[in-house]
Amino acid sequence: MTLIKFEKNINCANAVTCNHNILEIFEKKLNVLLHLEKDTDKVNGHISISHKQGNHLIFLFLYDKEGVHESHNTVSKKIETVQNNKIIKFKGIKPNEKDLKLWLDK
Amino acid sequence: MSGGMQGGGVPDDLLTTKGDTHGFDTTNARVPIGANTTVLTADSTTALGLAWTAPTDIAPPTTTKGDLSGFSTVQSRIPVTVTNGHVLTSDSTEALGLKWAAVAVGGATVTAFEFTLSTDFSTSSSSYVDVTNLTVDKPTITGGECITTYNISLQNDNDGKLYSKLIDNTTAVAAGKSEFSVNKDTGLTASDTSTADGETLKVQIKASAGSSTVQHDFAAGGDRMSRICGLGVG
Repeated sequence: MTLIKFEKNINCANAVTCNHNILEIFEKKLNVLLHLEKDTDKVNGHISISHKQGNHLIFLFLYDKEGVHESHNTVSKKIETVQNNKIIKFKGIKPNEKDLKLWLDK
Repeated sequence: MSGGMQGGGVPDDLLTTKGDTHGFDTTNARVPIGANTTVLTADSTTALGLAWTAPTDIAPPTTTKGDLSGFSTVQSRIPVTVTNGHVLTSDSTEALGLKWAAVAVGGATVTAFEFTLSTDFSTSSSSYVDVTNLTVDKPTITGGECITTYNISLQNDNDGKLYSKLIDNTTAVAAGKSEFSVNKDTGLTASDTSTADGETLKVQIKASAGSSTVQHDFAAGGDRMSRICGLGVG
C-alpha cells in the first residue's frame, strides 16, 4: 500500500466542495479513480481530508492489492485492511508529497 | 430543761459558726466550717471522719484542637484525625472503642465524557475509515457501563448512501445496532451502550458512491455538530 500523508495550507468555506476539487485534481493527474461514481466502478485508492483551516491534513491511499482496502487506524496508528471487491491494484507511477503539493498549487 | 440540751441529744450551742455542720465521733460534735472553696471529704484519719480539703483538679485528657475525651478504664484522649473529612467511627478493636476513619462512599460512580469535532472531515473511501479527530476515551469503571450518544452530520456530493458507525477500538460497540446508512446531506443521532473499560471510541464513515463529508458546524449554525458524548455508570 502507498500512503502519502501531508499538510497543506488551504482554507475552505465548504468541505464538500474542497474534497471534490482535490479529488478531481488527483484523479486527473494520476489518471485513476479514487471514488465510486456508480455501482459498477472500481477504484485504485481513496483520499481523506481533515479540513482544518490553513492547515489541511490530506491522506492519499493507493492500493497495492486487488480486492483489499487499506486505511489508517487513528487510534493504533496502524494500517488496517478489509476485503472490498471494488478495489483494483494501482499500477501507475507513484507520486510523492512534492508532486501532490505542486498539483494543488496549480 | 436548761443548759442548752434538747431532749437527750444535741446541745443547742453545738454549732457556733456560720457554715458549721453536725458530726459525730463517740458523741455529737461540731464540724467547723472550712475555708472558702474547700469541700467536705471523708477522711478516716480525722476524729470526726471528715475534713475540709481543696477539691482535686481533674485535668481533661485533651491537648490538641479537635481532641475528644474518651474512656476505657480511665478517661483518655481521642486525638483528632490528621485527615480532614474523616468521621468518628465506633470500632471495638480500638482501645477506646472509637477511631477516625474516611467516610464510606456508597452509590454509583458517574463520569461524563464528550468530544466534539472541530474540523470537517471528508473521505472518498468505499470501506470504513476513521474520522480524524473524532475519538474519545471512555472512563474505566470496574463492572460499569457506558451510555454513549453520537451525533454526526453527513453530506455527499453524490446521491450514494453514506454509512457511519461507532467503534470501540476495533470492535463495533453493538454490532447491527451502531451502523447507519443515510441519504446525502443528513444528520443522525444514535445511542448505544458498552462496558466502561477505558477503550477509545471513534466514528467511522464510508460512501457507497461519491464522497462522505462529516461536518463540525453546519451552516455556521452549530445545530448539526458531530460529536461523541456519554456517561460511564458503575
